[in-house]
Amino acid sequence: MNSQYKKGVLELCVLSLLRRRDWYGYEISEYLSRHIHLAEGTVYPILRKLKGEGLLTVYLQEESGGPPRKYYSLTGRGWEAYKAGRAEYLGFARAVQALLEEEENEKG
Amino acid sequence: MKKDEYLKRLAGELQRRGIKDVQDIVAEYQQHFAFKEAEGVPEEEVVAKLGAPETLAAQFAAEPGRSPGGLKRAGALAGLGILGALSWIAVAATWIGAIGLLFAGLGSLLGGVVLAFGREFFIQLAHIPYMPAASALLFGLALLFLGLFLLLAWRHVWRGCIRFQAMIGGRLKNAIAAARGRTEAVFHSRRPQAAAGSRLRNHLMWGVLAAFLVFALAAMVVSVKNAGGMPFWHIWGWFGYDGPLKGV
Repeated sequence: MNSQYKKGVLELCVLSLLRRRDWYGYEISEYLSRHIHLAEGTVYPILRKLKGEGLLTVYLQEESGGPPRKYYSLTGRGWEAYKAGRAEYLGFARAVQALLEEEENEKG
Repeated sequence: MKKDEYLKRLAGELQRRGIKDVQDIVAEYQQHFAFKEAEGVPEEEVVAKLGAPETLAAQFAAEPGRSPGGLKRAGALAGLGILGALSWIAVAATWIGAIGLLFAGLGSLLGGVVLAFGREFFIQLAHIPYMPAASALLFGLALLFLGLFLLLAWRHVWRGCIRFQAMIGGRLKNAIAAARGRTEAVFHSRRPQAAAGSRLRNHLMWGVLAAFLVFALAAMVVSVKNAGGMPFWHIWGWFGYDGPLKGV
């Protein structure tokens, strides 16, 4: 799949995960790579970009037996961006699906 | 490719593209390796799944990180200096308040014991205003319970002070780091979970407060009855009033 295209969708996926609770980077990378085929390292630039846009904040949390984990948390703006991105994506996906199925009907 | 070579190449690629916070970024990948290592995944496999360092560096480059300009940054830091000083004054004030509360509690406790049980002995050492024995016992017990309540409440206040200081310190550290354009790490302290004994202690604290109120009220009633009117402290010549019993 086109990597540029996938990146936009991955941003939405990250926002969707963070909507539920705070996650640390590795956790997000693991979860997404289990569901979507991707280079595991790409999650980190996405997190950094979203942070740079003010959609996420970062905090360190001490963990027993290990270095502090970098947790990501959704901001108010992140929440807005998620809502908008979700509506946009679902609308787009529905339109594409309808278009593709139309083509199949013509064939059949 | 092994971990060390991968991280070195990633750092090189990031630097070549003029990306800020190279160390921060590399540290995140280092942690990725650490997590994988804990799961027993060989380094080569982790490298293969991460993606090429050049590709990742390019993805970081696509995102222009924001960095406050030098002058703006200096202004922000100066502002933070003042804010920091004020915050630490607030922290110091809470500590002083907590220490004051501790001494008030100890004083009440001690005063209560003396008044209730050692009046005859201590009356030679300190000025204790006149009152009948029943009043002294009740006032003493009231003071004693007040002292106990203050000391039990003090535990909470003291813990609150510790949390407050940690919170202020963490926020400041974070704000200073952000103003310098570095990481934006807030040090969150997890709220300590309430221990099993803490609820019992809470009940005890309110029970002790109730006992104080009961004894204080009883002491007033008994004193008013004994003195034959209000205000009994005038009648008994407390606080320098020339009551009928002055000097008794």
